[in-house]
Amino acid sequence: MLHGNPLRVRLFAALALAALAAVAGAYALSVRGRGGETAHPSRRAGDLVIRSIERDRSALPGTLPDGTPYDATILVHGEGFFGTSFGPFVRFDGRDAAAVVLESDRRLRVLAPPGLPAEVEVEVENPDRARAAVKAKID
Amino acid sequence: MRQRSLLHALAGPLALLVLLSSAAVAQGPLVPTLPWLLREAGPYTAASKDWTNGNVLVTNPTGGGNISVQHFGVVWFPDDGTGNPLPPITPYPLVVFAHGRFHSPPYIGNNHKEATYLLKHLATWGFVVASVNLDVVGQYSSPAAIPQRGELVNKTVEYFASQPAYAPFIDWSSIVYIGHSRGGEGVFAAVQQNPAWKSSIRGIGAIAPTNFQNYAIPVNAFVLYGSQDGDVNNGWPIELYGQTQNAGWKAFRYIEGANHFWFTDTINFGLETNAQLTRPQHHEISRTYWATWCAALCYGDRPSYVRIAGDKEIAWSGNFKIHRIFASTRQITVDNFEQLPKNVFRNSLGGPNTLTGLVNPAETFLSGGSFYNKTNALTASWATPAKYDADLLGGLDVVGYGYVSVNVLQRYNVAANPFGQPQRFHLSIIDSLGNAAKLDNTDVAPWPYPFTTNPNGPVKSVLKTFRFPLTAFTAANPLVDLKSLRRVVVDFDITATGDFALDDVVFTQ
Repeated sequence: MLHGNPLRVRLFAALALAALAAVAGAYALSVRGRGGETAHPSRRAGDLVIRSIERDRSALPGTLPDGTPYDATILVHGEGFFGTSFGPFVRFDGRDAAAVVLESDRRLRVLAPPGLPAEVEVEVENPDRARAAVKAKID
Repeated sequence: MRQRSLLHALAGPLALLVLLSSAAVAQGPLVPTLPWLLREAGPYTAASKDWTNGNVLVTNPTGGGNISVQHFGVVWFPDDGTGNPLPPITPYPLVVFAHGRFHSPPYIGNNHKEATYLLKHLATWGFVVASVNLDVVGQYSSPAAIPQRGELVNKTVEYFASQPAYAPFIDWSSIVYIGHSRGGEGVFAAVQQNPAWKSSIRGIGAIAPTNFQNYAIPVNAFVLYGSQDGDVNNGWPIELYGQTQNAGWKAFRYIEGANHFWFTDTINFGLETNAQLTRPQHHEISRTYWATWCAALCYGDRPSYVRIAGDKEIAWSGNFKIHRIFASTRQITVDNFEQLPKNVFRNSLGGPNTLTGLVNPAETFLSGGSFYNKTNALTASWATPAKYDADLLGGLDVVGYGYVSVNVLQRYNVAANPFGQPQRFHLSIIDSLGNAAKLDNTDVAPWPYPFTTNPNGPVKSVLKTFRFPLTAFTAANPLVDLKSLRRVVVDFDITATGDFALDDVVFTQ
């Protein structure tokens, strides 16, 4: 448990998180749930939580059967993901993912559209309109 | 001025009779509301068994070859008292049911059992009902894996055809697909995939189907949709119905106060806590319509056809407001407003249309705003008495066609349509000698304002079919010669103002 100056504690936590995420291939700079900016890795927005983002570097770019191109394969880890006739939706800086696979209520496999910047806001929206978002490096 | 007739003189006593006989919202005196047998359980005792076909291959929704998925479900059937199929006197038609997507524990892997109220009901009426699990492709949020649902529906038919415990008892010339939500669109996909037994698919049905793939296939289709659907709340079921090419019969029911997930046994979706109808009422409507649809398709049951067409209304347990669209291919089209180039002054028979008092008449594709029907129609408004008068050319022989039918809607959220108020019109037929008979829309049904009680989505202005029996015209004026009709006239001369769409002016069976 860290003690001392709260600002130093938060900075250390952020740097530690960045180091961990850099090893995995992406890191969260900050997470924005419905409540605003926070340095914590996840924030509850209803029952929907994003814990981390990583890029599956074994997956290659490609094209869906309907001709939609995709680039990176992104794994979104969290809690509370579910789907009805629609959703969950995943957006990168507001752009819809090319494909979203709800592998479990804790993991999404997302095919990102081409042309995204290295650092994006990744937003997940459930069918009940609950949303969570995180800034992440996905290159 | 409204024309008096024998029918109007009887309206009071007839209305009282309807009121005494049922709790349903009465239609007009020409559409009696009657108790309906298929609302209740049928004569068979029903039983069920789980089934499994191991793993099968379906195409990968994200491309790159096939994927292997489990193929399993539950089957309901008439019971012999030991939990096995009762040997039939005549083989049972097969229904394949495709459930919707609710991809969340604990429903994943069990959604095929979330319509037991329906599966069991159909089995009591002598159907073998195979429900296939589609959660095996439910992880695909987008693409929506609709074709894959179709593949699994078709593989279910193949599976049961191979099973000695079921195959000998099934009428393989009589198959119906019914689905809900993504499964509802999946049954369209299944037909679109042209299975070898396609000619045996008597028709399909869908509760609140999605429309990811924009299918426009020819098939007998029946679609149900609730005005308070909080999941597929974007009008897609109306669009899919409009896109579907009529192969014989096409029917739609827009149900005020019904939502999406209360057509399942137990699923609740957070956005849908405000349905006006209870879950048991959803089940009553669903099981009754699907038993009726299947009986009409598979048994050629004329009373069932009449209920699907809406010429007799079903006596429901409550004051349900259910708004129908119906089309038969057995028709003479007076005007469907589909001809090119667009010309409101020329009908589909090539005759002239006289439009009097109509403001801004146009042939409009009903899509966008509050329109979802995806068909061309005449749109216009009136601020003084107005009419649409179609010249049929020569003398049209409509003997053998029981009805003259029109589809109309009130446009939502315009000043010309007072909020929440019904509109009115008259329909007249006139023969070559000028003999005329006129009926009021209320002889058939009210023309309601669009259902507005849906905070979960947009209000939809939906076409409604009014089928006027030709015998009612000849009863009003026996001089009218059905062998030589010259004009069909729709008068908007009762209410002060209105804004509407008119489509499918037809003589039909």
